[in-house]
Amino acid sequence: MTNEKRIDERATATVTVSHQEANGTAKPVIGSHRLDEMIERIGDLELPPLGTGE
Amino acid sequence: MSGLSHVLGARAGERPGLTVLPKLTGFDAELAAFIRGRPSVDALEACHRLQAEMPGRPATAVVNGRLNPQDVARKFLYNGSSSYIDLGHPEICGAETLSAFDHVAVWEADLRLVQRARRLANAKLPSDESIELLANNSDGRGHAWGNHRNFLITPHEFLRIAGPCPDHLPVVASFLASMIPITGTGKLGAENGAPPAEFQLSQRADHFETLKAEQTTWSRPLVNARDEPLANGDLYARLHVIFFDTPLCHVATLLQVGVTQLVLAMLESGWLDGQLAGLSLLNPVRTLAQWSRDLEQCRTARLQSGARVTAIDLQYRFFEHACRFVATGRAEEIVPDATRIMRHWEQVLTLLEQENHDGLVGKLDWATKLWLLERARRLRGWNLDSPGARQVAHMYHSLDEARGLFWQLRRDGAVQEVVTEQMVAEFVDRPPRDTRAYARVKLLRDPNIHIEDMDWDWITYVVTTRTERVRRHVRLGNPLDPDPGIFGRPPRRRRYRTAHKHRGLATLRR
Repeated sequence: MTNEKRIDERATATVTVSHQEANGTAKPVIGSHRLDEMIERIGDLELPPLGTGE
Repeated sequence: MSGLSHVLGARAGERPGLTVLPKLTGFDAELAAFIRGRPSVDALEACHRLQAEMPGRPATAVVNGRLNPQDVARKFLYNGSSSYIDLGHPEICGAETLSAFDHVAVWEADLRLVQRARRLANAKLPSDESIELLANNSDGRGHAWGNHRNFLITPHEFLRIAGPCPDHLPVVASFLASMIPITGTGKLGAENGAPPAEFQLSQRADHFETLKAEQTTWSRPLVNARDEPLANGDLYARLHVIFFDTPLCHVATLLQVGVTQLVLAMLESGWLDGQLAGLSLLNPVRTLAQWSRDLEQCRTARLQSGARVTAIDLQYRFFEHACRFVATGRAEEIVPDATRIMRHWEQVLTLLEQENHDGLVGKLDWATKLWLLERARRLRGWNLDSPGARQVAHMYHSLDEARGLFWQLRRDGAVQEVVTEQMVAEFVDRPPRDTRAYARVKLLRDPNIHIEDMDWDWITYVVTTRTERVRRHVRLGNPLDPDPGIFGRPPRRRRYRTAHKHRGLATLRR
């Protein structure tokens, strides 16, 4: 594949993730107050030994 | 394996005389389940309560007159999938799909079915008890369970990967190792005597100890050589890929399946022959622990050609071969939507190369989990070695829509989706229309049919008409065929057809 084609495909692919690029910056906007509340409440899930599967 | 001569020379692929089959896919993935609020683990009871709520038809699972402990209470579901209990883990097996995008939608649909089963089962438990259900691969105490993705290949290619003289084995093993930065779901700590790690990319890498073998529960092999086609073994083989982690992110799921489809298509067509040394690690198994601990993508391993590469370097080598393969049209109808898969692949490789971990949040599970752990450190001061961090890591995988952290990130719009809600909703109730899953469900749903027993590649049933009652045994030996001649009209969206039946071989329509 030529460099031009790779660049072209990269440009096309970028369109599909534009929803994460808010406020005109490349930084994705993630997380929410609700998520922070859920993290704040975490505290009682300790996985027991669950045994080998497959 | 008998009947190889039928396959060889049946259809021209890249090299004259090589058959290339559409890269049909499926999965069999184990989940973790236990009952909270009890002093004992009760994983098996949790499994049985979940399985009782799954919508489907029970199938017997008797091998040589004995119940198989790895196949308990199996049901075939009305969307073409199946569920059962395997060694104390709920297991879901997806309906066969041709497109990797359909595979993502079926995976998501099956997760919704088990989530619904969990809600129904919890409603029958006392209020202080509930079933906890996680899509993960390890309890952090040395136990691992599987996420197996399956790919249709020819018996000839199966021998080249897993036979006695497997010249494609090093390439497949090296490819799987290099997928760790894409398919890893992230793990705190190390297991199974592997070198220590604060955080590593893969949940399962520490549990693989050998290069190739048939077993899956001990001394796990990077390449599983289980020769179990679940189809007409003269014409079809199934590569049972047991190495990957269980993904929740759509992009990771898509690439886990779609990129493997492309690499297997290139191998099967002979496209990579002559390039094998430049794609093969000297020691793929030893590389696993190294690359699983390489968050910066800088650790190198030696190839058979002598060059040293990072996991991303090796991924780019496969990617560039695939670019040329797809550009020549050879992936057409072998790997549906190959160009779209390539775009997602390149985008993720670019972000990995740039070490843009924030850009990978919502695309790759390990990056998403690492971001959550960092968020928890800021909010609650939990370092990666704290019990709180371990609980955050577990809750990332929880299938509880209200408490699971992945599902909240999704509601926040932080998870990139590659299939529509409409596709997922359709696959909750209906099978893919372009594989034998369609035929299986059509028989399952027929009110005039009483199914006596069934498996992936056969169904025994009694059909009752006004005048007679007839027992029939139907073989579904061609996984690509949605209409094995038992229905009046072919289904819509039938992309492939069985041609050259006189040769007993399903080939492509072109």
